Amino acid sequence: MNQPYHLATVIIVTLILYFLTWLGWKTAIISKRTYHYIWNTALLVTFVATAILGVILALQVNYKFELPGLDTYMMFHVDAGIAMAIVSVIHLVWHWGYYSKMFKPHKVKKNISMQYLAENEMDLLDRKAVLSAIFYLGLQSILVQTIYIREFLALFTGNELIIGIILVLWMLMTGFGSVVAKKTKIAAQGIRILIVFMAIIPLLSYLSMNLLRYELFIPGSEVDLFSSTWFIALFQLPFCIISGLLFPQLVAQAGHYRKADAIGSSYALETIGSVFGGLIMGFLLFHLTNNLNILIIGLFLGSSLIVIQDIKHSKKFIIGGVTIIIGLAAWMFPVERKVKSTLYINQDIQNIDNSVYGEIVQTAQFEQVNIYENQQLIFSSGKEQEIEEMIHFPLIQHTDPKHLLIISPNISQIIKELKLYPCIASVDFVETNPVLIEYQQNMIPDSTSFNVNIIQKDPVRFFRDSKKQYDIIILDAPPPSTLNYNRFYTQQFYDLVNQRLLEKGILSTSLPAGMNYMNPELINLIGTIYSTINQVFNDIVLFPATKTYVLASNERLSKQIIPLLESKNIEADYVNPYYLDVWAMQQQQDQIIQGINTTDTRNTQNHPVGFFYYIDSWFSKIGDINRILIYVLAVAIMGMLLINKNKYLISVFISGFTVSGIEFIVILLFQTTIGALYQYISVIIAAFMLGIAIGSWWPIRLKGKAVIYPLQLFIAVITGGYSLYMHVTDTYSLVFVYMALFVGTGVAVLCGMVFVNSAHIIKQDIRATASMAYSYDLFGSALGALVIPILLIPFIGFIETMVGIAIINLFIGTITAIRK
Amino acid sequence: MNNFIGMEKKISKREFVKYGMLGMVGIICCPGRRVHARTYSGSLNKHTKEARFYISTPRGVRCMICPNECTLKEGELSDCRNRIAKNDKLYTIAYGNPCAVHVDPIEKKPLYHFLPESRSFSIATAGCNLACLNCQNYTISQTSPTKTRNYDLMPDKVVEKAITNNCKSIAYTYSEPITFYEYTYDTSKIAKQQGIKNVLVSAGYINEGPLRKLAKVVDAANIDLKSFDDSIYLKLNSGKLQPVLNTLKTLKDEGVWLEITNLVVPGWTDSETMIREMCQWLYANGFEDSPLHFSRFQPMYKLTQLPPTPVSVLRKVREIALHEGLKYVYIGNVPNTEAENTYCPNCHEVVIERRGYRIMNKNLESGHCINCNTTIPGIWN
Repeated sequence: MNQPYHLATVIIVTLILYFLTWLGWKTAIISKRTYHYIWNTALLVTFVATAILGVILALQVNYKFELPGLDTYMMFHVDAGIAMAIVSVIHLVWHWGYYSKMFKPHKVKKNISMQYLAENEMDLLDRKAVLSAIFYLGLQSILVQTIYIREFLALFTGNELIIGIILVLWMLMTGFGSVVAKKTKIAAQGIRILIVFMAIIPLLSYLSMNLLRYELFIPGSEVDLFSSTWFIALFQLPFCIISGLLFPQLVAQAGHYRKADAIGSSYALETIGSVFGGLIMGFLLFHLTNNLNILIIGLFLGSSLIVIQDIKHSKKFIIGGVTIIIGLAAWMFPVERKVKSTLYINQDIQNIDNSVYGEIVQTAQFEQVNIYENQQLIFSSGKEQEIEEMIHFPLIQHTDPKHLLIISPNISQIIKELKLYPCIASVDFVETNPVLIEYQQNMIPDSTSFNVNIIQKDPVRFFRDSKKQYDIIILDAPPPSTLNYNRFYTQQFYDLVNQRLLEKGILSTSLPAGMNYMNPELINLIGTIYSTINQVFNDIVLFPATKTYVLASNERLSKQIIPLLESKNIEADYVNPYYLDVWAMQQQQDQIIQGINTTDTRNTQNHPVGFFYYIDSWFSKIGDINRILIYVLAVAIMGMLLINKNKYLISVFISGFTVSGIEFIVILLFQTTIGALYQYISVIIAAFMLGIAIGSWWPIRLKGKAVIYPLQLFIAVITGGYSLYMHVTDTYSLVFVYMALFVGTGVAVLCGMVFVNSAHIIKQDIRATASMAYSYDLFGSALGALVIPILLIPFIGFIETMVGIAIINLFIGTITAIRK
Repeated sequence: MNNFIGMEKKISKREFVKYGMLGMVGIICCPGRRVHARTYSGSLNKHTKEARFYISTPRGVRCMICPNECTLKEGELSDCRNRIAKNDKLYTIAYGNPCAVHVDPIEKKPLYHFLPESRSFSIATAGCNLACLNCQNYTISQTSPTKTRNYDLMPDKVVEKAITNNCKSIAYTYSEPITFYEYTYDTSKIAKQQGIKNVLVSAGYINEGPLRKLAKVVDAANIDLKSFDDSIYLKLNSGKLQPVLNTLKTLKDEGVWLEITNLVVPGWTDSETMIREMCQWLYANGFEDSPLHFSRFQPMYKLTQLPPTPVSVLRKVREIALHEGLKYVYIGNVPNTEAENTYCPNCHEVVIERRGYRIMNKNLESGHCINCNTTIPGIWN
């Protein structure tokens, strides 16, 4: 039994569950009796489990008692004991009075006022408070969601899969909170408490997720998908449940002031809050401050919302005071740096910057400088071998390399290597992230014999705009681990590169290496990229080293490195005849070539299979998830919907699915065509949110069930029409992607209308309707976020995914129209 | 008072189906990961051979090769992924089916005091009895021979290929030769008869009995002493320290030429105190003549969020080792350093000057320093 006990996990899970039940009691979702019942039962269960397993353990030790799988269950003996210890502490707190009385002289009991009864009765917030709370809900949700995405991406390997998991869990848990709200009335006081929690929980989550990352998982190590998922779920759960619970309550409150269309207008107002939040994040906050401070701003807004309400002055002072103390503490002490230092063991953090592309951290470790983007090591002065291989492998192939284009954040180290080539006249560096350029500029050597231009631009956009041609183009990009990076490995990208190469020009790119053996997943990945490059260039050679370097040209390339090095008289530290194991390199070249099928599917803009194969290869490393599970989950959710008696909820679900799906498609189209996603993402999300808000707040409300079918039909026609346009358009142009944004926004308007009209038709009380409509909308969005970027687009392509969305809308719309 | 959904009324057939489906999805999504056992569905073939060192117990067959001592029920696969239980017997499924076959310079292993500048015919099958988070060969070690593309290379053919490729030795390397013990042993036996030497590149996680038997046919070994802390061994490698220390002692006792590698992983195994303790133990147990290679870590496999080891740290730990009395201490994966060379411990002159995998200058004659005639331990011819 080598596995450590789940000390931290059991403590955290127990405390979160305790907090949720306590909150449930305080907000009158459950009674105090139920609350006590739950924890008395928990104490009993943990006691019985510990006791029984303890006896079995004694039997095993004393009498060599054997049962199949006993070792596995014995782990629970201690885990249950830990849980029991926590629950015991909770009980001690409950019964503190009983124990403390033992040591105190007897006192006459005072009459306790029955304030609770009054608080449990339904009372009203004033109108402004309701509206501002709905707006704050939207705004705080988008602030917190964005910060969580950035933090989780930094804590775990950031790719679309992790973003998908974050969003899916977010929407499912918020939807669950909303379902709970269906039969739960929360009084004004309870709503105020929920708002306070909504303001403060993200801050606590931020601190604990960073501090616990290396307590729960192995320092410096990637985490498997299963563990990442439960970690993300754990830290999102409290906020999501509260926000899901709050929306229907606020709609019910709004219903007292605006009886006719409270759901639609509340949904629209919440969406406007999100739009506002997204825009100030993208254009203001990310440029001005860090994630921690953004959450503190959210806390200030939430506190202000409570303080301006009609509550006791003493409470106002407490809430205001606590908020100001937290703000001052964050301002006066380097809290963020302290928190982050736990993630960079034995390294001194020199700088932390929040660029629009993510968190950039520069550390020093003795003489070595390291730079991390979202905790991924993207630069280290200790990675000399990689830099040497990346530079010398292509440069020795060219007879006279004069003009170079290098897409890389490793500017300073590359310049040092380029100094070995006196023939170089100019080098253009292209890097998207201005923070990385700023860091590098402090490390660049003072004098060079060639001109160095550093261009801050997205590489794809640079290739589109620039007319300059080069002898060598080196692409030092991460592997196609995200759809964003995958665009540097598509046929369309290689076409652009080919146009920018001079005669005899060479492209150099790299993929992961397999050291002494290439597994089938890596062969698939390399094979796909090889076949793609093969469509554009006449000759390709592979050099398996620390990475698999792929060189391509329209001229003949040589596989013999040593003669080339000798003819050029290049002798670097690693790339020289003494360190290169040419025999092994040759053998691996042959192995890869034999494994490659040149008819492998090409990696294109529409069909990004490179990303799909990379994810496969990543799974082979960190542990696979059963992809069938995702299909089963998707089919089960769809099946569950189809048997639902309320067909309008299915329409709401599908509209949620459609909006989230098309939003992903538009974002990815922007990525693959223009690049520079981060500059546009706020605008894209804002456009979609605005579309939904307009649809939900549409002044002329179309009433009656007849309207749903035409709306869904219209959505099907628009998405189907656009997929046809995609099909006939060979190359994705700027007009093409802006058109996608326009179409997407139009679809969002229609989906907003489907939401509000469906909610209008459902004849239930306002809170129940809001609860069901909101939760189905979120569940639909979750399904879209789950299957579209991870399964559908890489597997079947953009066009086919759009066609699929059109067919689903047509199908569900028809069912809605014909089903009684 | 409020109730949870469905608590206050009977559920309909439709709801029953709905919640049933949800429940099923829940069950599928939360598999019992810990109780899952690896199984082998293939049949016995020419690459399966009855294993050595196992015993039958009432709970299944127990492999006694390594300290994991896996007990396997019918059809189950061992932790190292290449031993299976069939018909109350233990079989290796990694016999004559290596997935990696290369010809490497012996310095790459690294072995600096063993047939310098010679080539070693290097083979590995899939599988490993440890699970190091920084494994550079994870594509081989963390999988099973049933999932890799393999060569068909029986022991006699390996020896034949080694001779054809002008190799002086055969190295059992890359993954973990202990897990393909039978293949290693049989090949080594034939190679020894043919005058080819055998090199074991291993983590040394093996029980004493099998090791003593194997040591009779092995000429040299490079053992990876991954750290000198049991808890780090557990967290980083899923192993224990003591069995590896026992292996070092046994190999020395059996007269196998031994070199030791220690990978310095930032934040994990770079503690100067720990390295000092390790060197003190090596000295106290008579390993002062065994070359010690401090190797530079590069982000690899799952340990990608750590930086490479700074060169100054490697220089510092080398100084510690020399100070503690170890005579031959090298730094690996760092070019152009004096720490690649072999120095005479008596006159401190360079005995062998190295650059990468090549020897630039040799001041050694019949294993003695040309300058002062001091014996430099090793197998030089």
